[in-house]
Amino acid sequence: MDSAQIEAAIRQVLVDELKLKSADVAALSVDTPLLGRGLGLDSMEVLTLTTALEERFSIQVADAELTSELFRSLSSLIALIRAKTGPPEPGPEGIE
Amino acid sequence: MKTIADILPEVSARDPNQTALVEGDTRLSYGELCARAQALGRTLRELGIETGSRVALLLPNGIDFVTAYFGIAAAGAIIVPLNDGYQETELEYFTRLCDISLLVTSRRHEELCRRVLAGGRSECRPFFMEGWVFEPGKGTRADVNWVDAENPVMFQFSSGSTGTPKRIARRHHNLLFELESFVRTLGIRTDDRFLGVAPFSHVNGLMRSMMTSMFAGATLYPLERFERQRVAEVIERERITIMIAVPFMFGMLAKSRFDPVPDFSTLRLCVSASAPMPKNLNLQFHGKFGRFVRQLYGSTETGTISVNLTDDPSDSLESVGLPIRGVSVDVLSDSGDSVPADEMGELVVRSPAAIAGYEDLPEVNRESFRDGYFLTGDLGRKDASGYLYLLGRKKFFINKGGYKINPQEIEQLLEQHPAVEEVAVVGVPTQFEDEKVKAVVVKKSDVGTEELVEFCRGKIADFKIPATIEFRDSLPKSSTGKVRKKLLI
Repeated sequence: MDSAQIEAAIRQVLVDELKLKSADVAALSVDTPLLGRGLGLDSMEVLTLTTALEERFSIQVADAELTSELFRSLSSLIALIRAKTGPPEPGPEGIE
Repeated sequence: MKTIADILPEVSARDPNQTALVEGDTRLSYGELCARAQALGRTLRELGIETGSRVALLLPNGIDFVTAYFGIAAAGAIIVPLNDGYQETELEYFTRLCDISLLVTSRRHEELCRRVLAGGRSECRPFFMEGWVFEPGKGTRADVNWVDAENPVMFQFSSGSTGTPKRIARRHHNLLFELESFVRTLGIRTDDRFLGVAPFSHVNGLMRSMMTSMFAGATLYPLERFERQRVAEVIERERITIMIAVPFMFGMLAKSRFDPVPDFSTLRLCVSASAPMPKNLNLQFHGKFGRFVRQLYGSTETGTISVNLTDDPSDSLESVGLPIRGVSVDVLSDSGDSVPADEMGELVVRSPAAIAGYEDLPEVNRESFRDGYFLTGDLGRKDASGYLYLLGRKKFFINKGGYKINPQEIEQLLEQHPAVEEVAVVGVPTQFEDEKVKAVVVKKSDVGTEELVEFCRGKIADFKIPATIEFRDSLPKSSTGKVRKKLLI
């Protein structure tokens, strides 16, 4: 699964599980903070999102990984899921 | 046992070496905990705390919370547990409402205390547990004679249907009755091991985990916050026998991926309170861990009302069970008459653990207390066997993970923003049968979601900050001008 597919799946989880408005989720940039001044998720929403992502991507996220850094943005979440689901995407020049 | 301050001395006298608390690598026996609480009580007296002084407690679950709770009780003061996530506006409000003399807290809140308590706005002083040095032998059981058994021992708050939170003064005999009844109903033993993960600042974690465990002489494993793997690890490693929490926590454990699935076979009781436990999540929890979650019903005004302890709960998962010992529940029609079995009405409760009324609110008391019963505002039914089912509520508040939020509190805050013309706050249902906070705003001038959320931040606890803000040109209203909130969800 590539980054774009993961991003689309996360956005869908935000709508389905956290009941955010589709338009708001669509307007999110990949750099918008998910906590605090950005999306403003609270600790219960963070856990709900995490659990839904675990189910969606068949991954396990450890308590210790649930840091503010992980929820810095969609990008950081995408990176974690990519790391847990498979090898990194090849760069423009390819990675062996 | 006459007062709450007698609990630790009596339990400790029976077996001082019995383990009372385990937090990480720290284990405290009842003898040690009792000595610490009594020493802290003496320290508080030396600081000027007197019988009936109000002392707030702003700490997370842990040994310090338990020590401070019983230390304040030993000093004869009234304990005011506050949510550890409270911010400036809430802390200032409760400090004034309860005329708090001392705030027992941790250095983590030092900056918050400086903002709220400094500048002569309050007579309240902070007391940081990290700075307190336990002196063995300081304070004795005789000190608890400071305590007057008829006086309030704890102030709690009810979100209620209207206005600001109502102060509830629970007296020693209220709490002791509830504890005695609950321990007997659940058959709690000294070899039980409680998981203390529901916040002790809230009635559920406080009374049904922390206080029940201490009253019964069992062992309590407090956890500062809910972390899925940590909770599972502690249950499995420490062979926890009783977990009393909220639906969100059980639901998260049921839905999380564990590899391997932890062994919860030592759990003999899983009890959920503060919000309805959805049947599908209960079945999921049972499918994964082999245990059903029992539903419990209670309120801050009455204490624990009922719990579902039927042998095979699979046919009655949605029931909150039978009233606990000494508590009676009736179901009334709008005209105030008892309704037949299985018919819906308002649940009313009579209990020696209940308060007789709110302080200084005669009009509210006339509406909420009648013929010795507390009118809960909850709609429900009682089946032919006496099992209770909750069906809804008459009073309007938002239930977020077990915390009852008064929408008016958030509306009043947002109305202070210069760009807000009008606002209504509602709860939007989530998959855990609790709700998230939604604000619907009519703008006076240009403003965005981010600015309004930021306006709330630091003034109210994070769990009260609207998860969604919707902007409309006007609010839907009835002919009498009342906002039709059902149209906003």
